[in-house]
Amino acid sequence: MEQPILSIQEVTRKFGGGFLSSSKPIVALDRFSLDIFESQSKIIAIAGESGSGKTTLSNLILSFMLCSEGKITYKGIDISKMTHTQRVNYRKEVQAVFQDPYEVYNPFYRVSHIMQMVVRHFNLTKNRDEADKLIEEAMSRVGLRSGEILEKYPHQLSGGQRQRVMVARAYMLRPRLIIADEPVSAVDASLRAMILDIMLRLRDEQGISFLYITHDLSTAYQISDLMYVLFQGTTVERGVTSKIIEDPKHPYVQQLIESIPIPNPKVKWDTNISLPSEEVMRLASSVGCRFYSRCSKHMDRCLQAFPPMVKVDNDHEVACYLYQ
Amino acid sequence: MAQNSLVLNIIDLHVHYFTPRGSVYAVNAVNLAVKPGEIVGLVGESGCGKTTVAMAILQMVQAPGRIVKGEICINGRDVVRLPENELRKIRWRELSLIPQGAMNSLNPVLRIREQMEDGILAHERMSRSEVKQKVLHLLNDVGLPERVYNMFPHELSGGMKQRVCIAMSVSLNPSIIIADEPTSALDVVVQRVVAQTLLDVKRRLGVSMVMIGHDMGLLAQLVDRVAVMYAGNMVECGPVNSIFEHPYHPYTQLLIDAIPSIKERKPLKVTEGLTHDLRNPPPGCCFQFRCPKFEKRCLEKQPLMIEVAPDHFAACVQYSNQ
Repeated sequence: MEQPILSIQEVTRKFGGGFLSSSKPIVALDRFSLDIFESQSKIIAIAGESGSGKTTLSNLILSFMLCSEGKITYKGIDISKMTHTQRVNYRKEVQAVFQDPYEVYNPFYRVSHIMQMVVRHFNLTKNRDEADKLIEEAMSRVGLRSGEILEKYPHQLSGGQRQRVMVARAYMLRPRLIIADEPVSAVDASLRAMILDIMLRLRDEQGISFLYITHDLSTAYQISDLMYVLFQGTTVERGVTSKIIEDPKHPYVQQLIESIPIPNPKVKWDTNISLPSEEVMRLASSVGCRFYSRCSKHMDRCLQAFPPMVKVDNDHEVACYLYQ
Repeated sequence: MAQNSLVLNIIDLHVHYFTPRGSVYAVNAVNLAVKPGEIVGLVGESGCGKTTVAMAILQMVQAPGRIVKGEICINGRDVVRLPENELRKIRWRELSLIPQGAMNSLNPVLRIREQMEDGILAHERMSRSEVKQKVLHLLNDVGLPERVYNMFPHELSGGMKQRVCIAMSVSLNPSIIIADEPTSALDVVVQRVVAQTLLDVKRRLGVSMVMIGHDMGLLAQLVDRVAVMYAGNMVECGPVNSIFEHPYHPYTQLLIDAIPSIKERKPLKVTEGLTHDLRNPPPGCCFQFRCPKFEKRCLEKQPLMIEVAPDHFAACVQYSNQ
């Protein structure tokens, strides 16, 4: 069996609840596991609402914070125990594209400087000419004309262009994996497809895997191969994207899919949904299934222990007692 | 329909921002009419002028912006030339706002009750207990529990804060509510709860709304009529069914095609192109740089709105000779 390039093993991250704190810690991510293989580049969607732990996951992978339990390994090496050279290599091969294309740039630098900084920092080329060529190639990969863009400042670019510069910058390093944390949620609907299309092309042509972190199930459905749906830090359903979206098993995922507005004024939402009060939600989430208070099909056993992952189909697993 | 039965009637509105590097033509010749009890959706991408239109209706265009031309009639009265003290009487009573991003629009150091009572007491004489009753009633109407009355904004979730804003906006029974992206930044499930609340409020109070947004899918669920804006111009306006069934303007077609589907996987439709600089708009159609159906005639002038179907208007040369 092939060794995964990135392996996330039963990772838990807690916040608060330290030595002097009286409150219980908040579990932002609970025993999350995921393997990414080098030979099959895939777009893996991590979907969930705010507070589901998806950004915590991206911060853990990028080692902006440490895991409370479990470990993340890259090519077999624990990322928290890397030597300096290993870490530089890791930083090079695992890149990130962030949500807000307005805040990631230093407004005083032109795009050309932003790109060259990367080349210099990682010693990618021997001389200036090669660097220029590399930058130009990366820009054309994402459909930008370098002549127009390079001499501009970030504020002179549109949101879509800025996000593409970010992808080009990541691409120059020939990464194996790009963590894309909500890359299109700040981009206008009519330009979203362009960025998603770049992700698809980089996957197919360059063999780059993506971790596509999003709250938008419809774009995830359009581009991702695998999907993990998180709810309050726990994985509730995982598997092949088309199976999850076309035949969702977990009541939460069913509710999510049903809540997506249908772009047809003749088909209106037929049922009303309601959310329980905050107190009920907090009360139920301590031991059992986190979705208990919002679930229409809850049973007594849901409160006793967290439901284990059950296989419902090939490459389709769900954490719900309904399917045991 | 007679002119004076319209709740809101915008006629030939022009708003410019006067910057040191030239004027930005943010809103050009926009016309919009809202009937009683109707929800009109105003869509377009960021920078197309939709929020500027909303601010113009509220007479809150910030300097260096200014309404250079046009009329905005609320219940038959032009508000553009009203003095500030008259405007203060109208705001909240006839016209209210659900701001974009409720997260940041509530005052963090005041309790919900103080913020809600403040607006009501500025317009009406009421005793303490009457106001309290009214606020509790309003909270109940948007599906919030009574304890919210004494809470601070940070104790509420995003969806609850947004519902507090909805409750505030209907507190004085206005005839029109401007909702500026009321559900952006919310999760789909919460978005749906807020959308239901809005529809419910509209049904009970018969209030008209101008709903600003960029999510065509959500608008399809909520609004009666859609107005599409691009680069400061209105390009299409019509009943929601008619627009989704047959979008006439190429930009509207693009917007509808860009809605990612959850029903079927289809290849992504990629469109290139940038909006022109709003400081010096090119002669001709505002959409010429991105239009897939661009032709020579488009360079002549900005096409006028033409009735292409009953009550459905589009501004494109394709339809101008018929």
